[in-house]
Amino acid sequence: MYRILVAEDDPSIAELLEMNFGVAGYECDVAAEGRQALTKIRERTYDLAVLDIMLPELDGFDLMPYMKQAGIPVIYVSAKNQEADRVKGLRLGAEDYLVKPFSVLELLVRMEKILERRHPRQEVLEVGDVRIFPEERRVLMKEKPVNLKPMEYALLLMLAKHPNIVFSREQLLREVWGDEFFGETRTVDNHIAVLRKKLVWAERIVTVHRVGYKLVVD
Amino acid sequence: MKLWKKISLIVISVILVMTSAVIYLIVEIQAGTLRQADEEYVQNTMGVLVSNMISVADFSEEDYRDTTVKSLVQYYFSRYASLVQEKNTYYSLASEGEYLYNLCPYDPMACLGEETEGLLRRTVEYGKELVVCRETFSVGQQIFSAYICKDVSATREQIGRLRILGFTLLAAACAVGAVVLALLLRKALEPVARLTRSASLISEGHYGLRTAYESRDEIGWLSKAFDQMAESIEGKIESLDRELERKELLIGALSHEIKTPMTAVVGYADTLLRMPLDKEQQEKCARQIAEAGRRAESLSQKMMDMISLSGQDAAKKQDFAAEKLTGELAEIYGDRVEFICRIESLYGDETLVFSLIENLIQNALRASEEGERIRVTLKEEEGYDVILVEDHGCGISPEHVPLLTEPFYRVDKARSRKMGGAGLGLTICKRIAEWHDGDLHIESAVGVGTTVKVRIAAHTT
Repeated sequence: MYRILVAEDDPSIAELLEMNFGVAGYECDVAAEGRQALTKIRERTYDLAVLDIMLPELDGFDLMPYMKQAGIPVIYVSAKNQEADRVKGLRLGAEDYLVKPFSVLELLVRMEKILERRHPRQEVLEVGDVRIFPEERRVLMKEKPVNLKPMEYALLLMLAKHPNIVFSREQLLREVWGDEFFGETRTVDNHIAVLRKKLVWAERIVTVHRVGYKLVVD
Repeated sequence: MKLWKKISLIVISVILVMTSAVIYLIVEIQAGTLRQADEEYVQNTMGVLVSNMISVADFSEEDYRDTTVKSLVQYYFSRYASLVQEKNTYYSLASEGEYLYNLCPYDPMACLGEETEGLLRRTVEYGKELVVCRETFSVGQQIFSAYICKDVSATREQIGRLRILGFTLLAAACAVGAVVLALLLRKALEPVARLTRSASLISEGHYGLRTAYESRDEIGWLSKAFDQMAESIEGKIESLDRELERKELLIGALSHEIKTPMTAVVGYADTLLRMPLDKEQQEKCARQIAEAGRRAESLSQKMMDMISLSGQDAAKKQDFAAEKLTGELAEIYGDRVEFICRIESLYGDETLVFSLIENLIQNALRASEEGERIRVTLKEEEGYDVILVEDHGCGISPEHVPLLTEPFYRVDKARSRKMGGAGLGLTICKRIAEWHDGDLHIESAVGVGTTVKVRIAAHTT
């Protein structure tokens, strides 16, 4: 289980992050100010830090050298929307910079990508009778290989990694197909239909009315 | 047309008209004198002539025959005429419509006609002008008419020359005068051109520019007034810039403040919609959304209070009892706040003063530990009603003190947010004090406590 450090002085935002990280399966510690964050990284190790920039006393930028020293990747979450601030944040060595108000799901996906890059793990994803081997790009259903096209596989991986979370079609397009892809949301519907057919998942991939899709895992 | 040209033209025109009139008058007076001299001369000559002729008659014999008399008179007349011969003056003698003696190239009898007596001026052929005079005298039974005819064309020509000379000199003088005047005016009006250049430069945005033209005349005064105007414009622009900068800072701060509750609303709503949450977590999300909404609402309310305060009607000020105010506050905060009231009444808006004191009390309570008492004093000082709010709480370090009344300024961001402060309380208090023609002053020392002193103008009757 990954351990995440949140440095955020606004209690409602801190609680929001804590709740979401909990649901996404991370362990989470919250520091309400810069010094507290410093104490925490000295006491324990963290896999990732989500830092607000405007913190009392030691601010998010001041914390960066300590994070680097401790080898903790950083995502900034700030109300500061000036280009200069974003550039400064990224120059200092942050992995990402999200501007408030931000989408929690987007934050989760970006965290996931950073964590995966840092800790490549041999793991098998299991959803019902389907087993996915990310390392080998292989999918077995009832021990028989399933033939999936590249985008179908990527979509399956995205859903399987975030079970029970609802994605909008636009989010799936952006995260799976990428920013450069000028597709319509129909593309997502078509691929979902293929997955439902190939994996016999008519029940598992649920359409959430007016929001998107989620993969239901018990 | 440029000003110097215009003024030159007007001045020259006026001078031309005036001097023309003067010269005309002088020439005419001169001409009259000359003419009169001519006429007097003719008349005097005639007088002498006639008296001579009559004296001739005195020593003539009574019984001379007419013809003798006639030839005698004719003789004397011719003698006299040749004696007093003078240029351009002609003598003629006639009797019974016939010339007895006439050396005049003109016909004086015809000039005068039969009836006219005395003096006459007449223009004859070739533009010649004559003064003709007739006098009748009798010798014995005979009646004679003596004529003197003077050619006065020379006088007329002299007058004409005078006229031409006068106006030629006038024209020449005016031409030279016009040139000199134009040059002088151009030089005198040069500062105006400089002023114009400065004005256009200032209007292009060089507000620091001055004409700096020193002179004790209208243009000097204009330059001075102009420099004062530029100065005041520069001041105004600077204060507008400062005001704008303050507004921009305020808007920047506000948009940042509004982002925090918005992040919470968007984040929790997103979570509710997308994440698999249990019942308890869902309730928590809903509560947080409601809480953030209330925060945004309170922020906007305070902003509105602050903005509407500057436009508030000063006519709403009135006297109200100080005791009543402290009484109401004591009902709410009585257990922790000590009220000392040394004045009878305050002048202003009761609701605003109430919220001012309440705000300061809440700040003081926030800074104090449980059980520490706060003192609120209302007293009079140097024509002001003074409200003192003293606490013995944690105090504020000196570098923060001047910034405390800035909108959204927080000494400790995390702490005061947790307390529910929007960062506008002291800003509003200061505005309320200023609206009451007063001010707000904060004194504080870390570990000793804080005193906020609000002065509001007392009612002057």
